[in-house]
Amino acid sequence: MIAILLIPVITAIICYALKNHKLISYMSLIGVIILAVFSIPIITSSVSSPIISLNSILYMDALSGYIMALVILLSLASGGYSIGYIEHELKIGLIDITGVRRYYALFHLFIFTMLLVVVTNNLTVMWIAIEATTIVSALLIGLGFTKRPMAIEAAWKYIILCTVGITFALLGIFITYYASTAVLGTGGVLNWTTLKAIAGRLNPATMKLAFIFVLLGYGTKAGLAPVHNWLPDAHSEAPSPISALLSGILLNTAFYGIIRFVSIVEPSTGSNFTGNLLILFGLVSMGISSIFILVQENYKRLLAYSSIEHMGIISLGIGIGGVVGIYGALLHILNHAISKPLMFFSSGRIQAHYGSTKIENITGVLSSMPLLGTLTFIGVLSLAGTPPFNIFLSEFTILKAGVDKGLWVAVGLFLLFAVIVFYGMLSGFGKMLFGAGNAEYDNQKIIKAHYTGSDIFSYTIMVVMAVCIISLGLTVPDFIDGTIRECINVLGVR
Amino acid sequence: MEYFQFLIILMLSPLIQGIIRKLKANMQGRIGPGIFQPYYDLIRLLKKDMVISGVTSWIFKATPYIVFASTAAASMIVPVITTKSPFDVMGDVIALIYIFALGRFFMALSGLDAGTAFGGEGSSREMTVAILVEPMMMLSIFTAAISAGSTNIARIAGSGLLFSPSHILALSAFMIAIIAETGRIPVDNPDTHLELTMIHEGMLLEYSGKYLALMEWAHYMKQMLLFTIAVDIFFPAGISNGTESLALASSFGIYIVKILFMAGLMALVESTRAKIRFFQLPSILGGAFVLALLSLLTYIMMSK
Amino acid sequence: MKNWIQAFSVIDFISVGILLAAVAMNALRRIESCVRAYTLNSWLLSLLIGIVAFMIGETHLYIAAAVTLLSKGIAIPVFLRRIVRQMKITHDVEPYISNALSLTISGILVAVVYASLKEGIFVAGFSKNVLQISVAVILIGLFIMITRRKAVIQVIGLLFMENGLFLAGFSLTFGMPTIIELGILFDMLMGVIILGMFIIQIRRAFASADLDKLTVLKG
Repeated sequence: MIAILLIPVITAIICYALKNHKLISYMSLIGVIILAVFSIPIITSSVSSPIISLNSILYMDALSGYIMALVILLSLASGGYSIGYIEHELKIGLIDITGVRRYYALFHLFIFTMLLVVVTNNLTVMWIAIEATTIVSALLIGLGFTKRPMAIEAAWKYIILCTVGITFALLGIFITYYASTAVLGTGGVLNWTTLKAIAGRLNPATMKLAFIFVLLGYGTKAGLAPVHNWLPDAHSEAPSPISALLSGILLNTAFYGIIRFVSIVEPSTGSNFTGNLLILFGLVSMGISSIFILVQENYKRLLAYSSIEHMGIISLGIGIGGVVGIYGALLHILNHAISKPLMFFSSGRIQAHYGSTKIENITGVLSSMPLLGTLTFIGVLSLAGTPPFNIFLSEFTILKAGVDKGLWVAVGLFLLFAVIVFYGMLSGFGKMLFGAGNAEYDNQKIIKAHYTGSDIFSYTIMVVMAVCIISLGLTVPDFIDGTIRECINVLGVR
Repeated sequence: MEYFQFLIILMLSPLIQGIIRKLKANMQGRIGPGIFQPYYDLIRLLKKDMVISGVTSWIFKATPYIVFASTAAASMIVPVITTKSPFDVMGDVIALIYIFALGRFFMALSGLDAGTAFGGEGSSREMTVAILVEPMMMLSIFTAAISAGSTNIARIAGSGLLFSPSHILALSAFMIAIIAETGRIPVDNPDTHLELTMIHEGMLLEYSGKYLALMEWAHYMKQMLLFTIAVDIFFPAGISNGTESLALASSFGIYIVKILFMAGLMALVESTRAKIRFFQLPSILGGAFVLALLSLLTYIMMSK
Repeated sequence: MKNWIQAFSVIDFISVGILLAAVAMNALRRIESCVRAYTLNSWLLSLLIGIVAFMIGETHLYIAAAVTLLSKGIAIPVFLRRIVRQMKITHDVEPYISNALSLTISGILVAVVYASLKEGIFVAGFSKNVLQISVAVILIGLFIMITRRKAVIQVIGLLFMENGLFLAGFSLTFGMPTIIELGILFDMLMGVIILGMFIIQIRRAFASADLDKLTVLKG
């Protein structure tokens, strides 16, 4: 397990040390591939039984394994996509070679911090790791800073808001520590495993307070409304591969923290308290984001608001709870982690091609770039929750859990917001995808028609993701199904 | 003897003013007038004829008496050297603050009465400061009052030394209140008649002769009175609880030392600070108000 | 010595001092003074930890006090001063709200905190008041961040929040294990350094350190 943590750090150092941008990008790719290869045995074994190492600071069970698998898959995809993206940026002079070195070094450090979040057993170490993800990713967002003031603005908002939010989470953790002191008599504990064992005996009032702080803190990081303000800026201004990581997986690692905390808090406070709070946060997130999706003029921001919406859905799923609800939420994490990065990748392509992020400036993507257009279309349909794509399946599961529990108000609002989002997404991207291609842009396209090797590579990644979206929409494969069931088991949900 | 402890304030207040001026002069490297100069000034003014503006009403003539009488009355209910005051029943801090307010009200009226620009300006400024200072003074006294369980000054003074964070906060707020109430730097400058900055002097501008003497004297008394209240509430150590002459004598000695200390402090503040602009006053006084509020809150919290 | 500390309620005095340093931020316009208020706050914090360490004789608390002093009391203030000098700005002119209002609101904040935590689900060890004070400091820090324009002062507000958080954590837990505390401190230090870098970038990109200029992104 330590090896997994070390690989990205080493890769980061090597990437920073190298001077040639081609060499750096291949090194980075090799780094993520090695990471993926090494992680497979660990993840599979963690699903069947928890692994504890390094003085029980590191701990992995099915849930950690599940999220870790997502982190690594997305790093793979994003690492591969980065090559073409950075090459393009370098060509048009947005960054220089120092920027490339910094980019790849930070990229791998970012992966490291996210991995640390999921493999640690200690709540405070998890907090440190989540704060570290903020710091590293803020630097990634502000990477090209001198040339793009907007990126600095986004990074500033991001780091300030997230640090403030997460400060409250630490307060919540302190309070938990205090509560555990009262139960154990001697010094408190922060180990998740120990806390889980004594969870039923913790003081409910104290734990309620702790949960509110933690939800507020990690909720900021997970992009839950009303503490989501940083998210649209950061996601739209970041380089596309980073947006994909931020949206696809960083939000989920923050959510992972919340899920872990729920399982500690629930036994003492009862599931109503945590559930209602999560449902509330979820519905507010969905409501706010659906309105912004409807009026959005910038497609990258539109995608960012869609992330908020999906985080809301996940929060709702966990809030509704029960085996079905959690199952739906975890499945949704996976589905969102595939669909959203695909969309960011393709929007990165569109942006590179048209040089604009305004919806009104872009028409006829399908006719001028059929492959990219199709991929985008699949992504949009999936994100909007259209059957038979993957997100429909998980949304439906969550909805079913809601109906089973008789939460009619929540279910009704969910449906309403989902319809608004559906309309907003399709009308926004519909304007871009359909219609006649712009002749001027098409001419440019003909000039640039020859795809370079890295372009083909990027497209391969995107096609694979699109295939995943479609196949996950048809059925949930047995190994994923088994993993999620094991996760639910670990969380102790009946 | 205990009937006449207010005479101490009445008679010694010009001296305290003289001492502060002398100390200030020394700190600024000047020789300055002698410490008895305020007495000479008062005597000189009392001998002089008065010039009274023809447009003024009875308020202008009544105000010096009202101000002087209210200040003298206030000094009667404050324990100076013994907590056994014959006016004990009336010795309430809230009453005291209202007596001050009465004097201030008439002073502001008289400033308006003469109809000059500077008088009106002084009055309006004085009232602005008063709005900020009075609640703060009350709050800081309340902290002490709550811990003594009474708003009676003698009772508060009799309850002994109080030493806790909340009292230190209240004391700091009260000191700022004293500076504002006595019109000292950095709130007001007592030594100047520069029209743009004056507050207290602006209201007195039309007075001369006997009236001016009364007003000035009342002002000195108020200053000493405020020192006395501060000392009573925050450093009551050494004040006598009986009426034996020996105890009173030692109490008097200790009192003089404490008052001189306060005078020195005022001189120090005046020499080291610059006068601030009037529009910045709310931020200083607001700060002091928050100090007073915090002292009360801290007291409530820590006394649980 | 221990009796002396108890008799004069030194811990209460220090914690009130910590609160005052935070409240004072509301009235300070000069950035230098704000840095100084933060420095004072940090010193008092480490002094408090040191005194508690002395009272209960815990070695790891001495370490915590020393580390706090070094990082929050010395390193961060020095770094902030350097940034302030580089920025060549000295004052936060035109704040969003006036000093007096700002002070009053922070006073109300303290009152609310005291009132809401009065019943107390906590029976902390060394002083029952420290938790309230720390939460108040956190909120005041947040308030400062909301109401100020200058980026540096926002960072200072954040640092105040962190000091309050440290105090809260300390009063609830008597200090985390040292290694964890070091980790948290390191994280914060990194955060501050990176914020500092961003401040300089903002200055370069927008030719101003006012955060009002950061309004391109909305909706």
